[in-house]
Amino acid sequence: MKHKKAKNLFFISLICLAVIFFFKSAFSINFFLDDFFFLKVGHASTIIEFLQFFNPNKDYFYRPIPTEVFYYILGLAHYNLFFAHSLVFCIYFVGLVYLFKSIYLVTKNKLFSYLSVFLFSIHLTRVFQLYQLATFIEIALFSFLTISFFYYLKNKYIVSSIFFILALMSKETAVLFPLLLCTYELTKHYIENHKITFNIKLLKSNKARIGMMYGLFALFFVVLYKLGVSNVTTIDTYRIQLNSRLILNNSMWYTLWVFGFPNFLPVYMTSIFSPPLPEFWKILKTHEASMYFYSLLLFYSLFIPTFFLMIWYKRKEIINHILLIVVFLFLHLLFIAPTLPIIHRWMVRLTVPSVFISILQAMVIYFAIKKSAVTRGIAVCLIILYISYNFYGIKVHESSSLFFLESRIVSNATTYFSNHNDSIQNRNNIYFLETKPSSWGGSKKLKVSLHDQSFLNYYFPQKQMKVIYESDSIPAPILLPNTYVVESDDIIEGRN
Amino acid sequence: MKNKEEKVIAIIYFACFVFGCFLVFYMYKKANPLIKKHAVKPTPIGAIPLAQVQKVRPTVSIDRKPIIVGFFYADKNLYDRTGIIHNNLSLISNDGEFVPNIFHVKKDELLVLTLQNKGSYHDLNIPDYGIHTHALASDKELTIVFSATQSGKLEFYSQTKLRKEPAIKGTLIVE
Repeated sequence: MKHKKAKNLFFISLICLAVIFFFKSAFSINFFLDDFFFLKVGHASTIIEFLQFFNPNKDYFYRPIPTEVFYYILGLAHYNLFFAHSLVFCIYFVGLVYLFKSIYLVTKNKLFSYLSVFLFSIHLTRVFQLYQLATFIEIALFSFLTISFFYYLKNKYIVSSIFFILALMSKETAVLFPLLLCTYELTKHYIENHKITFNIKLLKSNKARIGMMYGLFALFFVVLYKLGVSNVTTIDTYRIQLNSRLILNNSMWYTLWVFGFPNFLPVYMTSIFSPPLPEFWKILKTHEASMYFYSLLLFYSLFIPTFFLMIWYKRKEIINHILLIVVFLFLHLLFIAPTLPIIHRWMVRLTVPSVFISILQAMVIYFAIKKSAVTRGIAVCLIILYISYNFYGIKVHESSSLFFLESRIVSNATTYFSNHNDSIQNRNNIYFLETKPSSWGGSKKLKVSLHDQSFLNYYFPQKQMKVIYESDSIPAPILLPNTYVVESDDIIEGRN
Repeated sequence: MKNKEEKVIAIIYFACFVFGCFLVFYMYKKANPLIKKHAVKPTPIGAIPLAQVQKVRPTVSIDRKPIIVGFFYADKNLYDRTGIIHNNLSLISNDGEFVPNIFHVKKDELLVLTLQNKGSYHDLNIPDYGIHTHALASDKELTIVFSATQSGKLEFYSQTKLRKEPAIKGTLIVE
């Protein structure tokens, strides 16, 4: 027993080490963009202020755990970046452990569970969840849901519902969890009995009552979210548009992304049926991008035949296998469904959906491992190619996500404000002067990177100040008394 | 029987792998074309028909690395607008809007500006070059070729039924 536990711990530690190796650059990322807003709202000096974190009546999304509470904890650690990123990684590792435990509990197959967790853990889309601290929302949602699911499988419903509530306090997508449970129960019932029978007794069963309880929790939180969302949806890019073309387009790109395609591909494709724009080929001149695309292509050139071989060899249980594939694709689409009718498309939302696709991919690779000597060799190639395309894909997405650029701008700002602290502290306003010509957009860019007025609370917590950006067409600083003038490009370019 | 089956599987995999290698080779060739250098006279200022554009396009030299980040940044918040200036220039947007871009080009360098239109109506305005286009219909592409004779502004408007707003603003600097 002890030996088994040590073996489990060894494999899980290996996966965690692989994650740290693949995403090590995350530890150098500074606070930027939304982080400044969360740093501002995650500040409390009394218990009453702390309890206010959980008040749903706000003009932004109701996600108190990964926003206000998380940033409050960071404040206790004096905003130490290494601590902040380590905390995100630790919560992610907890999520991975519970994901492993859940898959093992359902399948009773250790190799398959390890494989699924490994494929999921190093997926290139994790760049968007592990690098920016503000996207801890996604990590929290994933970890709380997996813990909740594990305890649900263990029939420990009270613990499960506590983590479900924590997930609901992390992101709105958690309201779909009862549907996941329902799909799981129906699929399990069908695979065990080879049919689905509806009986009135089923509604009176313990599982049904538990399901109802989860549903009621979800409904209650939907009402809470309504308070915040009504203010957010007025932003154009987040406005819900029931346009079938947009929904189809988003579903397609989210699905391609989760299968490993790059986030910038939609920009180069006028249509999925036409070749990419000529600019696309230039990307392949960089070493990382070419290695990423070539590995990805080779991976699918072996993965697709393996998938069909699996279908062919499992033809006696074809219905079960097709059902599983459909269920995984359905669950993937279910968890991205809330974001399909909005224009804003972002890879960060693929944390939970990619769990199902990783399990699907693991199913195919596991089949190859078990089938024969030839397919076992192919499985090894598949795993190597998967590691390769994700390794290079992570490097490409580190660039395309612009996280390093944003982090660098904020680091420059930190140095600048530190060097000129005495002069700035004597003034009431900071004026960001437009630098012409500016390659990154001057004060307009700074307004985004520093989240408008939000950064003041972080850099000058004791002082009441106002920031003015020239891009807002505010009159020249000469007309504004007591103003400290900063040339925008001094911060953007790091001229301190 | 089992041996025969194994052989069939191996052949299928081999065929698929060869196909994968062919795709990789195709992508490699596309990414690294053999560029023939032609001596081309700079095109006169102003828009020219698309047919002529097709003839001059291969002569445009590609010597700088593309900015991958720029394109994604544009996509981060924009669903249906893509603006790409060929010949080493790219447009970068900033949280839903394109930020002013500075494009440094050599004097008399040939520029090919391609507007990809998906969804709404777009029109282009390059006042310093006297270029004004009419609204470009949905799902169409417009290519304009001009030589960089002077520094000037580039403005690309997005037009819907309700409003017309500048989607891309750029500045061309002739060195």
